[in-house]
Amino acid sequence: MITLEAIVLFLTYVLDIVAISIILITMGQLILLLLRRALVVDSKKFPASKSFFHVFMKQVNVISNESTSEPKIFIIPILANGLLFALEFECANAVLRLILVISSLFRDGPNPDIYNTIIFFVGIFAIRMITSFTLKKFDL
Amino acid sequence: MILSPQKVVILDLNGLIPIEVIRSYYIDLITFGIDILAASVIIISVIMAVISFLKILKNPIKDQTMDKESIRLRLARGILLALDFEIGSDIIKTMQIPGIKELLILGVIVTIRIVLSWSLSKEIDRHNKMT
Repeated sequence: MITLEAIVLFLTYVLDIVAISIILITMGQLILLLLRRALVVDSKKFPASKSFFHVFMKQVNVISNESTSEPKIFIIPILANGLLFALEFECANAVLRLILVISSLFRDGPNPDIYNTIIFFVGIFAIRMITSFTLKKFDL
Repeated sequence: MILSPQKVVILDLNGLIPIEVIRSYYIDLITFGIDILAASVIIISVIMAVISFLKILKNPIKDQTMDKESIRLRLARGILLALDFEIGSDIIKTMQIPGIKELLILGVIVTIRIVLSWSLSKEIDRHNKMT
């Protein structure tokens, strides 16, 4: 039988998966960005006349001088924003769990699960606040 | 003098439902409805956030950071609305508190929710001032 508890539990699992996916996507994007940055090579280091290097120069983003270099994108704000975005989903997850917890509080009385959920909620909330505050404080 | 027998009317209370039961039933019904509403708000916000996130994935990474912030705050607004509903539901639930321990737990949860609500609204205000 499908109960409200089962639906909310299913939703919390889905939210967990979404949060994990967002973190993984952010990490993947950062790794790609770092790889692209690592593959930027100054053309002066290559003897351009030799055909051997032309093969690599097609694959590698070669910069000819300083003026054409890409502006640096900071890694930490991107990562922190991704983490904050994932934490927002976890926040939604915690709010959903608390709905269940309060219902069970009235039905069955206090049990250890309530304390666990409150600790989880406070933890998520604290990390979220600290990350957001740090981002704003250092103007990242 | 003939005395007519007095009619004694006895109210039969056994067949009636106590007022506490009726009150409890309606409180449960109302709070359940509010909980469903809050959960629906969160689910809709989450679905919209996921769709928006999938849409911005094709943009350059630098643009994505700004878009992510907007999506995050839109989701935060949804959570804020759901939290407001939940605080209302908790206040109604205090009418049928069974004991002091439950009241304390409920008080802690409501306090946490109010603090989170305040923090989210501050963040949204700050973002609105920046943009």
